[in-house]
Amino acid sequence: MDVRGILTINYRLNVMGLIAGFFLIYIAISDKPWWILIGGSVEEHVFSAELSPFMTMITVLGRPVHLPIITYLNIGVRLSFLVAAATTILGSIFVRRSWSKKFISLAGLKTPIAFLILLFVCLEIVKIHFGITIPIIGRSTLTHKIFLTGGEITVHIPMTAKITQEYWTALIIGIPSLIAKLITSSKRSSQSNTRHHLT
Amino acid sequence: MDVDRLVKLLASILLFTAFIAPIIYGLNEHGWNISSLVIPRYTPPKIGIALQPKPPKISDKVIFLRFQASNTGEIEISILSFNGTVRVSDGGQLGSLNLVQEILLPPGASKDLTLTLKPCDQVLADLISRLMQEKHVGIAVDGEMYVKLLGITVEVPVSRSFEIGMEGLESWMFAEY
Repeated sequence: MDVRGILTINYRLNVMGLIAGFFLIYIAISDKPWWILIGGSVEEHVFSAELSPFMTMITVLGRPVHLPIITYLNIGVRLSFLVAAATTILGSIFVRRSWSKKFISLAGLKTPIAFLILLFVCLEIVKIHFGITIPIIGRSTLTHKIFLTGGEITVHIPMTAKITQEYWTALIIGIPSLIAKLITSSKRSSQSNTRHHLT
Repeated sequence: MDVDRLVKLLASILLFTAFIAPIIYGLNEHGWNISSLVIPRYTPPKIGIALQPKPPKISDKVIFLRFQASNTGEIEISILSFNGTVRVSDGGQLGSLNLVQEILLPPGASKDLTLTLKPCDQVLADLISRLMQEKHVGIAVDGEMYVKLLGITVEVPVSRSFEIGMEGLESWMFAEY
């Protein structure tokens, strides 16, 4: 039995697809951030941002910043991830059906990559429009001048940004879905090749 | 239409619906007003320090300019240091000012803030002479106050003019001069 045969239990069940499907559910229901930005000291935060495709938490001076559209977008991404997980599991169970490959979703792999690209673009927009350089990973100091009627106030805010372990987990979890997709694809092509030889 | 295409179409519709449904729900919740959905809502906490002058004191040729510092905001503030100068309103510079000690101001709290001024003998004598003649002398304080809030240091410009009188100085003056 070849590797494909082992991973699909002789083309009866796509094991990698099942794993990917359940991991997708885990990622979708997790409320842990993928990227964290903290402004201020470790104990006290002047501002903080905790982002993932499924949750957004921004606080400034200890008060939350609420952007309604982001909340609904997060719910939308979460629901579509759950749908993708369900179709992946179905596609992995009904592995012999012709549509099984179409049901295996690559959302687990695409989303972390898209998240990082989108984050980079957003930080570049902030840099261009507000002149504030925020790193994706690392430390920097934000020096900002606030003009008040009494004069100009200068603030120096140390910033720490990091990609969390949750992000890397999500990215690694995307690999089984890619393998699951490839297995399904290879299996069908090998079956069609066999059929071709017989005719 | 073959089964493959139909299944793919259904899966795509399901995926799209799952994504778009919460947004449509949100729009409905906000009365189909897109701007209320995309405008951030944030109420910043109030931040403020009020400095109320108190009668100064003199001890060992050092003038202690005293203020009552009140935290009028909602965030705890620490006053770390003060770098500035003080001058007589219609005259020359008296000297540089330094904060005696850091003060911690929880929201709504008031504490004494004392700045030390060490003028040279001649300047001090001139000031006392003017005080004895005019009873009140206008002085102006200019400088930067370094304030710590939520773990960061903020440089706050201070520019205040007020009058100092004989109160608090008399006992020392009569003892020394």
